[in-house]
Amino acid sequence: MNHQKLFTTLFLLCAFAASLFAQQGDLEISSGFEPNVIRVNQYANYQFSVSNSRGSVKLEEAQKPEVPGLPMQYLGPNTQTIMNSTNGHVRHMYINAYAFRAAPEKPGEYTVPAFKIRVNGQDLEVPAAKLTVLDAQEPDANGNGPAVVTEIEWPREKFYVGEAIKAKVKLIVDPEQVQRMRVLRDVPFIVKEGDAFTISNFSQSDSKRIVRDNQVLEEHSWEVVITPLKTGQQSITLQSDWAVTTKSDRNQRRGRSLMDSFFINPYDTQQVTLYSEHDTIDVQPLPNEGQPTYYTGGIGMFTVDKPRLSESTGKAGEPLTMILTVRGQGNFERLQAPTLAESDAWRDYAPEEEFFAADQIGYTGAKTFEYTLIPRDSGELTTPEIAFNFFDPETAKYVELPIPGQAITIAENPNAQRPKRNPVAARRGPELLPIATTAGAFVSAISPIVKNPVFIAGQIVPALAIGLLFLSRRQKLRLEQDAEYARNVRANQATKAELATASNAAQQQDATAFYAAAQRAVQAAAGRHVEQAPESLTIADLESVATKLKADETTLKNIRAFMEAGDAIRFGGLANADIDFSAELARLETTVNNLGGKQ
Amino acid sequence: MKQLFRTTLILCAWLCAAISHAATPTEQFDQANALYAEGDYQQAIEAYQQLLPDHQSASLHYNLGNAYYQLGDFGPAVLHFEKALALDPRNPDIRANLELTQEAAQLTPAPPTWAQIIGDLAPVNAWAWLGAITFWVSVALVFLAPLYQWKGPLRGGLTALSVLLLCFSGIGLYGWHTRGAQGVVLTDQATLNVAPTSTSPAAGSVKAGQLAHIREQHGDYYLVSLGEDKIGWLSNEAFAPVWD
Repeated sequence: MNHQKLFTTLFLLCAFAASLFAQQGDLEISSGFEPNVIRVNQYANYQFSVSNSRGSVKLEEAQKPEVPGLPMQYLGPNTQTIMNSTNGHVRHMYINAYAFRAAPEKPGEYTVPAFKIRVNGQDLEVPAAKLTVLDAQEPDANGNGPAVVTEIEWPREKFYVGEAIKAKVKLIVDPEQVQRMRVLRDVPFIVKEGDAFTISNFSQSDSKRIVRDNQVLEEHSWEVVITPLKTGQQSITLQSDWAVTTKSDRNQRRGRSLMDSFFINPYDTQQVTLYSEHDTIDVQPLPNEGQPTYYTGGIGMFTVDKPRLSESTGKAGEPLTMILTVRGQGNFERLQAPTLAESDAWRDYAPEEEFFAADQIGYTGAKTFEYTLIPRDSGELTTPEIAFNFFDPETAKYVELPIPGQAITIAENPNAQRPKRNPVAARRGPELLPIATTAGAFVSAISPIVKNPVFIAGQIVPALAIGLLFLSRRQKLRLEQDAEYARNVRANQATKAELATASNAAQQQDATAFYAAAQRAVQAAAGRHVEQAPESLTIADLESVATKLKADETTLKNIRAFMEAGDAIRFGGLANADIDFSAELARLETTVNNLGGKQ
Repeated sequence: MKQLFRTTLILCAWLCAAISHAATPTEQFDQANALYAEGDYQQAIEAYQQLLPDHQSASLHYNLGNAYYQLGDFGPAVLHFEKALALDPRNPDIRANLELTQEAAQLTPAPPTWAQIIGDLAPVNAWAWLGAITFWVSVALVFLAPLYQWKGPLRGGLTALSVLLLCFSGIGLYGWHTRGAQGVVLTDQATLNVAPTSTSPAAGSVKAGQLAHIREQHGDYYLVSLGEDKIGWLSNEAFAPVWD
């Protein structure tokens, strides 16, 4: 019997151990980079996964893999279920994968070492994984060069601040490795680094085949205008994001069957971020030497057409327009209107500008300046000379192209008012008006007084004054116009005053004063109900008022008592009688309240 | 005792002398004007700047604008002419020199709005006082006059006049309000930044002396807009508001 019990216990223990083993024994762990060979500035995905045929696994503890020089960004978990059918036996495999994006900064070999994780209460080891990062130009193990390279082609080595630099951004693709490329942004490139530049829109891309290092490559290029805004050594890096479809090497890694090669996609599509090489260019300030007095700000190569006048003849005082067209290549955005020479015969106004681009990037085109001129006199006049100039970055010299005036006949116009001279203009020399000789009134800040708290608070004074005037005037008018209201107000005031007098008299035990005040208080309280003057109300009048108010017998008795007591004390010599003043005062207040009291 | 008395006397005499020799703001202004007249514009600017910010006047800012103009610093020149105009908007000399500076800097300022044209008829504080007085007079005429039974054409005329002046001062104040949110680009080296940091990418370039509308301030940076489509951050080294 004992043996049987022992056998049963052993059997249960074995069964429990077997069930535990069965639950945890088929956990599989794998790790790796995809792809495991990349170039600098490309990404690779690192992933470790735990698979289990018994159901989903629970990762209880794991540390983010840390590899010096290989920044890793956690992308999140991913759960997958795979179903296999072998000889009619269906088997499920639950895979939990944890992905990271690795962005190596330098070429080299990077290894994520083996590390421990805890899954379903069990400590497991994630195997090590290796990533090879090649230099941008370095051939890979198969002898292939970089699949895609970005370059900026600069027209010169030295540039000037404010210059419109027509650069070419190239994407050089190895067609042996890359099947297809698709840009992932609205624009092909953005500035990754380079706060000292502005860039224009990109042109349409141009594609051609080139041969480099005995290799036939595809070159896609875009033109763009880059304008440096700061002097000195300035660096710029462009970034572009592409979906790149390359020939997959996974099939080669596996021994694939005919079925595999039929079903498995032979291409990989991967999101790739490309950076141009870290270009540093020398940006110089414009030379002071030889700079024209009224420099237009133009940098490039420009020509000017002969100015076009709106009329071949004119009348004094009537406006004409003169259009100057500047053509060429350069920084049209910064090109200012050329200055007109001083002429007392003309009044001129600031011109209107318009730019007509001849290409997609605004580098080549024509800019027109439409001046308005008003002849001040009649006769054979000449339009003002135009001082056009620009800076030629190729020769590093300023080019001056003075445009002579055009002769025009201006007829007399007695009806027109003679326009004023041109305002004092800097281009005609320093004609600054002289400085002030008196200092004037000093203030401590240029700020409107409406923000001053004293000013704002000061508005309370007129508000209060107007408010008080309004209320007092309205009260006065009502007292004059509303007799009942006036009686009520007077009754309130008189009742309050007489009750106060009675209270004082009660404190001083002065019976004469108390009952006199009591008489007046009762009369005042009742006075609000009759048009008669309160002091003339007799006991009969008061009783009549009380009866109208439906006062009780006690009130009527009290009215009579107060009125008679006053007379009795005044005329009956009862001033020294023993009186309970506090009780009498309470009785008076009740009586007054029953007569309408203080409202 | 005698020595203490003597020391006190000497100290008092020294203090009196020091007080009597301390230059008043007006004397400092005159000294700066003398430096300007000698052509020493940089020294003149420093002398004028010593009076700021406690002793500001239209004349002081006008002279500062002139001194900066003489040095070719059109940004600060425009800033000080604008400050001078804020204090004395009807001064023709200030306006002429401001226009001259804007022409020299090849700037085309936006034409003033109707509210700004009306606002320029008087200093902002004159509009503020006129607005406050006409407001309370209007309130008194509307609410008190009927109570005092004041009738007749004089009351109606005065009420209409005060309401009209109130509206006018409201427009004037609005004109100044729009000017009060403006600032001036101080240097040609300034770039509009996308964000209020020195490492931010550039969003465009600006010219010294350009007027910009201040939308926001964040630390040492102002978010400004120039025209309808140009917006970005400028540091306080490259930009200054017209009003304090």
